[in-house]
Amino acid sequence: MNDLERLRELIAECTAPDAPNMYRTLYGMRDGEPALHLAGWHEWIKLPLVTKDLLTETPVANRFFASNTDVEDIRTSSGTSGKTPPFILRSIPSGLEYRLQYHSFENPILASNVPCMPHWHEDLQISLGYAPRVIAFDPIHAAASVRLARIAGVDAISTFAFHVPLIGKLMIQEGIAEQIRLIEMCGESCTRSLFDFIKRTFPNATIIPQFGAAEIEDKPVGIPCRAITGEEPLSVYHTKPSHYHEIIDSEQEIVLPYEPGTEGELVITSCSPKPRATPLIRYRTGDIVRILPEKCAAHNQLQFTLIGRVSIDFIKIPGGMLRADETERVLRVFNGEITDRFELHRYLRPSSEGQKVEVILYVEPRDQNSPEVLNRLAERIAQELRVGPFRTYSEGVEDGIYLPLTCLPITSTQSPTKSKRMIAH
Amino acid sequence: MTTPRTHTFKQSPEEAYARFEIEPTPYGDETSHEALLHLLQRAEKNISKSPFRLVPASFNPLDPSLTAFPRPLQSEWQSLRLYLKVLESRAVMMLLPLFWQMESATYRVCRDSGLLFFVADISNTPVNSLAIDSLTIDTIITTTQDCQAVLSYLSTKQRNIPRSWVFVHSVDAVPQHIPPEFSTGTKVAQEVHVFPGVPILEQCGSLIERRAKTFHASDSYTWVFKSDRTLITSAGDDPLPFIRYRLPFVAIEQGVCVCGKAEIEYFHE
Repeated sequence: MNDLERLRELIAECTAPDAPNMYRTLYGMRDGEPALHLAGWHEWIKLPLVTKDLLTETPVANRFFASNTDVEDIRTSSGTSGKTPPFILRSIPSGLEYRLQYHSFENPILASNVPCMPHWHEDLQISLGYAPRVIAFDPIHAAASVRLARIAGVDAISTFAFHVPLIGKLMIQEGIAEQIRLIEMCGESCTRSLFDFIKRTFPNATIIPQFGAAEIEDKPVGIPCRAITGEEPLSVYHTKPSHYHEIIDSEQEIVLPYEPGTEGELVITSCSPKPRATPLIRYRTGDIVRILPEKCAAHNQLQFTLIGRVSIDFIKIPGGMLRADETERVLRVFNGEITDRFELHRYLRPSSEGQKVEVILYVEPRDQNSPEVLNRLAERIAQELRVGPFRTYSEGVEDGIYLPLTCLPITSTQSPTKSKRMIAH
Repeated sequence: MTTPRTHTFKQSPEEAYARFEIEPTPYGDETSHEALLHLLQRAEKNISKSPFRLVPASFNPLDPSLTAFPRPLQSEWQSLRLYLKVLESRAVMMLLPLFWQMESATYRVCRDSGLLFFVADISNTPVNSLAIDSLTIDTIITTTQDCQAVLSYLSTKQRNIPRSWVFVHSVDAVPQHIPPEFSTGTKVAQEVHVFPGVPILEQCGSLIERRAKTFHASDSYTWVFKSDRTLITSAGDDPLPFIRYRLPFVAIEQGVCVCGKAEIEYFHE
């Protein structure tokens, strides 16, 4: 079956008269109208794109295409724009076999709820003929989790990238960092500083990236072409067989040629094996990718790397996230002293207690911008700035997770557009 | 008081403990909590050599003596299966600390029962309350303490309270039963765990219907009820069996339930 035939079948399934109505509504179909038949590519590129906002606004029942027994997990995404996050029902993931070339998974693994739930790791171990031995990582009670991991004898970790520094610190304390053979990271790209930290902390670990998204049930979005070895770009992927990838100009929503050198927003359609709980057709991932000049040597496919977000309005950090809308809200509290124009840079700084988050906030003072004034302002902003429902940035500093927030005056070269306000280093 | 039943190990305690290269407490004595922790700590170095599931041997993540309690690979949360059936659950939220290692067992019961299963972030009550609405969650598995946080939030936002709850009580916590915010139609199943994921006191459909404060003794253990102490001994396949382990409460039989089992109430010393 070629791409068009697969997509045609998917469209027909998702627009059947008895199907949940998300796509029928999106495509403006009338009651009783038969399923949409895709005549060719010229019709495909006219199909409206699916956005996270659409998922948020569509009740779960209207976008749930399977039965309860088909649901492997339920995710909620980060809620990047201050809106209610959508809850996504996801069936069992497929196409994760590539992980086996890096690790046997015979021994216990320390696993967060992402990219796969602990029970999924157990099922994998069972399918491979091994005993199901998984220690669920609890970021709130990280030390207790790592203590259990030590007793269990874990040799692999699967978690958010931003949890790795904390796990590293605790595993050094427990004396087990050197026994780790695999680190699978998701949630954000591996930065050079994180890579360096991992190599120092886990000298025997192979590092593999996991590029997924809470809204996409058929994870991963891309299959890693190789482990992260330090070679740039650090994380490179090729397309999963069950996915149809498009790259668009995110502002004009024009499809760009899928060829080396193309850079734009990744749009994915997932033709994953049935059951499909939340099938996505032309979903805007919000991720900017670049197709590399060279094909993936091992898989003879075009390879791409993730270079950022279309509109980065949040950055995940341990214990919460830094949000553009929240930063803007706080800056408006100090409206008499500064404008709400800003640029936020997040760094991961090595320390004797592992990596710590440092935030430098470039702001636009209305009047004075002496270091003393900005220092006092930084303290007050940190006290107001919420990184989670129950935590402010300054509380994170008190807890020893973050370094004190710094305010500096913004320059004319900074913050040229709103889409560059939140930068992770 | 009942006469102590004879316990029947599939393997002798000596054989079980030998796997971990430790000696059990001499039979006939009771095992204190401190003695059990000491045994578990001595067993640590050998736990990874055999295939077990692990749960924490404490409900408190900050417990300096935190160690692991091994469970058989095939262990299941059978009592939850009954509760979800009696409660007529359709969509379940697990609101328990992840380090308790109960996600997998809960998922498997929900999957086998055809129920939606959502793992809540215990630190994010606003999102959890949204999940209750969006996913039409009707059953929450949690502790009475975390239940209060959810109830407070739902009350503030004037949202409906889910109709069914499963409370997991720690063996060393003074039991708190039905929150006053619950309407008469809210159903509650409760059980007491000796360690997270290791239930020792359970409820049947009748106790749930009656919202009883009493429990049934788990068949996985043989029990010794004395006026000043309650002891359990593993009757099943615990890799590192309890041997006359002294519980931190005194359990008293309070008659017989319609299901035929003794009803048990417990009081902390």
